[in-house]
Amino acid sequence: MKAMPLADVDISKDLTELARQFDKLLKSHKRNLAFQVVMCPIDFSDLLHKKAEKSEYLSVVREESETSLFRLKKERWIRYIGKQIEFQEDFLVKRTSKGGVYLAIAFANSEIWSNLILWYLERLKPQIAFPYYNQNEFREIITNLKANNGVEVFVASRTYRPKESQRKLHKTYKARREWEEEGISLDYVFEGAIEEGERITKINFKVVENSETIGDYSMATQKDFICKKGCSHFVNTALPKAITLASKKFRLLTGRSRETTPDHRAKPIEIRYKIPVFPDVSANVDFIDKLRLLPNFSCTVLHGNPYIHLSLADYSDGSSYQVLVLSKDKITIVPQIISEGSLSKLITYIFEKFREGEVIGEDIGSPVA
Amino acid sequence: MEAPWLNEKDFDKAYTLAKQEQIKYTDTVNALFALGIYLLSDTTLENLIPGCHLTFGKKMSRKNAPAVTPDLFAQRDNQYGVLGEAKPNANIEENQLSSYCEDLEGWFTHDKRIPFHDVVFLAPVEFADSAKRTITEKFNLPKEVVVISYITADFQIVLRKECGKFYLPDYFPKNPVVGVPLEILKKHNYNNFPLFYDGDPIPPYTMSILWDHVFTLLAQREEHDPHLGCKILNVEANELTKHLQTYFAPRSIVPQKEKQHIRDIPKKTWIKDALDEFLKIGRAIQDKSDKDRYQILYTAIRGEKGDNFKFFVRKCWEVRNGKVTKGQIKQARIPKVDKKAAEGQGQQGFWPQ
Repeated sequence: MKAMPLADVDISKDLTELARQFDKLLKSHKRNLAFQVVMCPIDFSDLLHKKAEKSEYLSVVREESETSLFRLKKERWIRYIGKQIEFQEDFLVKRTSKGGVYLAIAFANSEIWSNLILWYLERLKPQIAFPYYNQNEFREIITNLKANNGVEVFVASRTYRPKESQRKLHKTYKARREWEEEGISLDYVFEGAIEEGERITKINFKVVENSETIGDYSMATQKDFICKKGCSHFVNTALPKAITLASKKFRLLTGRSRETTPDHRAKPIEIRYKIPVFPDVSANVDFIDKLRLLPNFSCTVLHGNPYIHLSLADYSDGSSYQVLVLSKDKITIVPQIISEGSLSKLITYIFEKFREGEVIGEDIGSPVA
Repeated sequence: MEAPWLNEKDFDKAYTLAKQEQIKYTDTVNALFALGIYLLSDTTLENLIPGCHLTFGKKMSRKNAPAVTPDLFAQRDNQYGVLGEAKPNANIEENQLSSYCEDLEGWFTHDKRIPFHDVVFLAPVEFADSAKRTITEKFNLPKEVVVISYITADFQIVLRKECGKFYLPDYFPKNPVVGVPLEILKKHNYNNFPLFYDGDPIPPYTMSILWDHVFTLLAQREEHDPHLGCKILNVEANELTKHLQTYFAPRSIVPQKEKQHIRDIPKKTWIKDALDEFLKIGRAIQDKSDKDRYQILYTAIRGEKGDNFKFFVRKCWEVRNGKVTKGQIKQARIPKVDKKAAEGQGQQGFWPQ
């Protein structure tokens, strides 16, 4: 029987105490701790409990007031290996202090984490959504790891999307750059990316205090945080920032379905840019072409020039939108009857495939990046 | 009369024509709304004049003659208002414009009449000259009609006064051209773009709106039928009409008690036209006893790069040209409509009130 170390953790404890227990696990097993921040408009644990009732491969192991432990057991065909593999692993779901924001935590190697736990969580979209952290937020979260004087962050490698001119249309081209073992400063990496017009999508880094490595992590813009060493440090410094940002994003997404608004008034979301990103018709065509590749969505073009008016439907949950470009530096998403997860998916897609911008909800007024 | 795009032998030409019609239609929707905003707002266009009334397709009574329904009804105050007619093509009816010039009843005043009103004819810029000539030279109208042309440029609806004079000097005072930003238009329409006005859209347009904004949502509660390869949705024409009226009609600014008499855009007949097209292309089955009830054979549409309008143009065109669609094959395998199940769906309360 495969060892399930999370089953031995006292899940009734708070996150700080859990992190101490996780640190012990990291010392005794060759595995990583993986965290995924999840936004869910209903109780995420309840959602999984209901799924477990009907599912052959998801089961509930244990339950406490703030935390539940689930087990996934599933055979999956792994294309790059070319065979069927049975995966089994536990994961925790922990409610955070911010409404609508949860943590999924697993103690697993990267193969099991990505092929089982993340695979399953991805399948729950759009009932759930993962927060998308833009470059500033990404940097801000990692910078929080430098909690005390004398603590430094060194980047070992990064994965990034090259600037538009170096990419082929419709291809998600990613490049990777690695540095010498001692790594390179965080500021250098981000400043360099800005200068080159690149967007960092994943970063591997170490936290060093007085020449001693106290943490070894990786983080992706939209997905997970992987912790190889120093779980407590991560939970006490970077994670609260990630949760706070996710909470702001979640609040921005909620209450926008026209089914529930007064007079069925639409509550648009704007993605604003500091430069004119629609200077001419070719930019319109590029944007429309990209949205047409949005997986599992329809994209009907009602107007493409001089302004853009698209009608979109999400086949995965029935959400629908009007997407408008009514000025050169702004995209307006007008939700019709929608779910938060679907809206998050649409915004994330625009960020990833078109361009990152500042997201603003008209009724909120203040920008939420 | 059948639409010209259906008679084209080549699909690309047919699609180009259909697309032009759709764009003209949406431009007309925007132009009518933009004109209404211009007539009834302050100089910034941001704020509407307190107490004004704006609606589209309001029925107006005449003495000893059938009622008329102008496309635009813009009442500034108890003394003055504007009635407008828009045409995306050059088809102007003298009788219609003449009737709008009469002392009509239906204004929001104590006796339903108004001392002063103007009549506007709104035409796309390419037909503006012919409209101007027709109205000024050929028609014999009881009062001067203002002709306004429209075009979409630089993220705004550009309105140009081609001829005629408004009773109020405030309108187009120095420059015959004004631009109403599309952003303003969206703002005044509950932050959404209206998709219909009081004119018939081509059926593929209504079909794609129904598919995107209604059927895809309804489909979430239905199980996929592996034998038929689709989901079966039970729909009813009145409910569909009400749904589209709630979400996609241009906003009416009228007294609350009058609202129930106003909102009839889109019309049920257009929804029926779309449903009948679904029937023809094999995406629907009609109930034999209740002609307003249909079963939609629903699948996510992947063709035409996800552009449902283009997809439905193609299917309508193919059927018109004698080609059997996959939907028609599926349609032939469906048993007759289960009316009980169809009624059950209505009780689940999907339709927002």
